[in-house]
Amino acid sequence: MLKRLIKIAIISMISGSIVFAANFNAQAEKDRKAFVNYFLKKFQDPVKNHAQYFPYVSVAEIKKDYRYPLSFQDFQDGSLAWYKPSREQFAELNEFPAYSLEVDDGEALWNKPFANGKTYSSCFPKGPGVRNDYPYFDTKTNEVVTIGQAVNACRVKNGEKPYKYGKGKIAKVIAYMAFKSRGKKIHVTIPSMAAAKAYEHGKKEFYKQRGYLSLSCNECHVKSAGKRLRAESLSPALGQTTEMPVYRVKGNGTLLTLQARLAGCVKGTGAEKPKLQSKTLRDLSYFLTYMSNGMKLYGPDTRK
Amino acid sequence: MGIKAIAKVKHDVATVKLLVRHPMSSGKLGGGKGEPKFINHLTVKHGGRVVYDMYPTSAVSKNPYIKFAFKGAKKGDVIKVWWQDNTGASEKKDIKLK
Repeated sequence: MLKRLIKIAIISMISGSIVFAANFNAQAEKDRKAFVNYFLKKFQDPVKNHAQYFPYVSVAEIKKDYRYPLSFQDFQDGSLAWYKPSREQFAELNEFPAYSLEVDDGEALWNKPFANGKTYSSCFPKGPGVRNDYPYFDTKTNEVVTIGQAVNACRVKNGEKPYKYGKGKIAKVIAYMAFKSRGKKIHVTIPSMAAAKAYEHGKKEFYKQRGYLSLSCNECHVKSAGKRLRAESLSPALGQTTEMPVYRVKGNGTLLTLQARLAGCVKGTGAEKPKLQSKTLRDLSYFLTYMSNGMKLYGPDTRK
Repeated sequence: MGIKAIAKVKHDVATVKLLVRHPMSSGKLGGGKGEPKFINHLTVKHGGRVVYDMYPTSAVSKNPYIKFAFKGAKKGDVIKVWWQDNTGASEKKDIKLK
């Protein structure tokens, strides 16, 4: 009798923990659904809810310049999704996109073997089209791993010097990988308690106010998405990671990775620039990419 | 340095898009110690006739994108692109119209 009781107790404990194991992303799923619903609701009918969400634009301008309603996949285009004048200009620019040269460079770098004869395919056996697998949480090292770190880890493993992060050669290699991953869906998972903690840290960084203007990511890219900031139209945070690495037209055209873009934006709002691949930025990118789960990638792309 | 092209013919009109890889620098950006290097003459010929002639200056940004159209083309024709820059370097490429 006692043995039976112990057996039942053990079985129920194991099944209980299996149920708990699947729930590390319970809070994250709630956050994500709320996030997506906010944006879908906001851009559903800007004319009708113009007083609540777009108070500084006239109804006539909304009817002329805004594109609505937006579907979930439309958010891959960032601010080009809802602002028609920019969208037309960029459609022209993308007839023969300038980033095609960077993708060609990236392809040459990907195919060139290292000094020991191996290529990147030895570390990425599924090929270059794996951009949607990053960032992911490595349960062995308990860290968020970004695609830039993975590329450099491959180089170091094969005896090469790692690239500098942010722009340059590493951006070109990632651009080639992103180009090959077009159409694949983002599928970030939260597999453990430590991963949930990293997600929560990223969430905190997103909503944290910084710098002398006390701005947070949330202020411009959630609350003010759809509004304009001087001459710029603010992009919504939903789908912001789908176009990485991004070819920025400003400054004579540079290809930037997600890490460089996050750090640059923080610096641009008047706060101290975080280090590339620091825990702050990696966890932030983990949170931000999780919010766009299910969206198809379209990288690289041209933005202002 | 490299010229990428998309050239299509529809009825009688060919539309040509070129992406020319070139730094197009004035030498004055970022401290201003470099030498200027920019394309100052670019020509496209079709059957011996010049269909596009351009004399850019350093005001044109890097990797210039050029788009133009001309009449009198057939599928399979070849156009010759040639450019030279202020340092004397030049490049030419033959492009087949699709």
